[in-house]
Amino acid sequence: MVVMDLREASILTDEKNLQQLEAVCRNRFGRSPEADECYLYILDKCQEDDFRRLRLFSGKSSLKTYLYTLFNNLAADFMRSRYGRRRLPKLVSDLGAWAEAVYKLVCWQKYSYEDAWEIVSLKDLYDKPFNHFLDDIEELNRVPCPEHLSFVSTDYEDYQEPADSRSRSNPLEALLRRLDLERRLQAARIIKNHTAALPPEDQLLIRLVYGDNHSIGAAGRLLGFYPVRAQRRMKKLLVGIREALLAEGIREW
Amino acid sequence: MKKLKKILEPKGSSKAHPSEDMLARFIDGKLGIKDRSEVIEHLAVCSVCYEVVQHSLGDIDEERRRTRRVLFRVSPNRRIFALAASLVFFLLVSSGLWYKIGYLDQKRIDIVAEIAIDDEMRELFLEDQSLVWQGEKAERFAELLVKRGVKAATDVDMVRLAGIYDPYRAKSLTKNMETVKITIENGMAFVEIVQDN
Repeated sequence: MVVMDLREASILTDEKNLQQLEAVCRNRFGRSPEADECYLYILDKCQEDDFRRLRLFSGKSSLKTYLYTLFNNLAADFMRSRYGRRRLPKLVSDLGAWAEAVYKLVCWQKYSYEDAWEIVSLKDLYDKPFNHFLDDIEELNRVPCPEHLSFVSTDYEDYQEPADSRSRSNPLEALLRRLDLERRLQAARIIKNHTAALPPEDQLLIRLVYGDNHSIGAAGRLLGFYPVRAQRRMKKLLVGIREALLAEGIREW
Repeated sequence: MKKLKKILEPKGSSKAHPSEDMLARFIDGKLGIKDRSEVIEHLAVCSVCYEVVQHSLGDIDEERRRTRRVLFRVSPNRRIFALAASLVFFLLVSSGLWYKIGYLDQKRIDIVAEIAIDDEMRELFLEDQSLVWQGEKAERFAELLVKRGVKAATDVDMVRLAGIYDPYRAKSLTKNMETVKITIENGMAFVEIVQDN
């Protein structure tokens, strides 16, 4: 037991591993104090129960990948424990589930009202046009929308997350930007439903590449594809999305 | 981008999550087919595990890029030394070659060819976004050209692209209109990618 403790303890004192942990927290929280809290939280959790989480490493993946997975999982735990128990203003809850969703999106996650309308419409929480939505959210304007960091969710842009260095062309993003509000909602719904109907592998590819801006190569590697095969697969998926959009009259590709 | 992510996020929830060890093995490609399918099916419905995987993938990718930058970073003193050494080497070689009449002329070949882009070539273009290829990558490209009948490419040791290959550019479904125009001059291949609709 002592030997095992020493080995696991040495993982947490190794500078490279600590740099990994710091990178995970900085990527999530930027230079804010939450990054330091996240760092300490994860270190504590790793030490719990005689380094139980580190002892669960089977050695079948690289230690680096295991630590990234562990640290990211614990970072998500940290965020949930930190922000998961926030209460919504009563006025918001009284308006219904759609208002709660809009409040969270606009006040906690800093989406615009337009984006919030699209997202709640796509989730079938709200079914009226945008101009009705602006009337309906008049009430929400009376509720303070807190700017204090302690009220802010994990998507808060003020964490000054480093600019995404993986800038790549995203045809879906480009298409949505070209459309007006109503057609954008229509297109978003088509893309969402089309993606949800695909096999799980293809859903994962689309989410990683178009939702999270990973390279096709990196996403393909995750699924065991060589770059050319991943490229071909993405092209086919894009053609499928394009056809689904064309079938509904969205031609601004 | 974050709105599109929201639109595409996994829908549903699952109580039985794969362990961190299993997710790490998935990321490293160390799972068997059955286990990998199960993880992929789970990621399609579980946003929690999906976020762990996609964040980890991003962190690993960023570390890889950071390491590459450090390897290629050169201190100012070393740069000056390298520049001076290059200059001396250049003077030595060129003064030697000066007396080899016709050597440079022998290497000078002007040739223009246009060939279709196939999967092998496309893979090379998609490896990275650099516009200048040297060393091993230039050799591979030269080999490809020679295989496709551009014999003069045997002398190519540097490749310069006029632009980046765009895999998303709309293409005709009935015709393969993607070609490369290649000019070879003094051991350098100038490549213009032609992607017609």
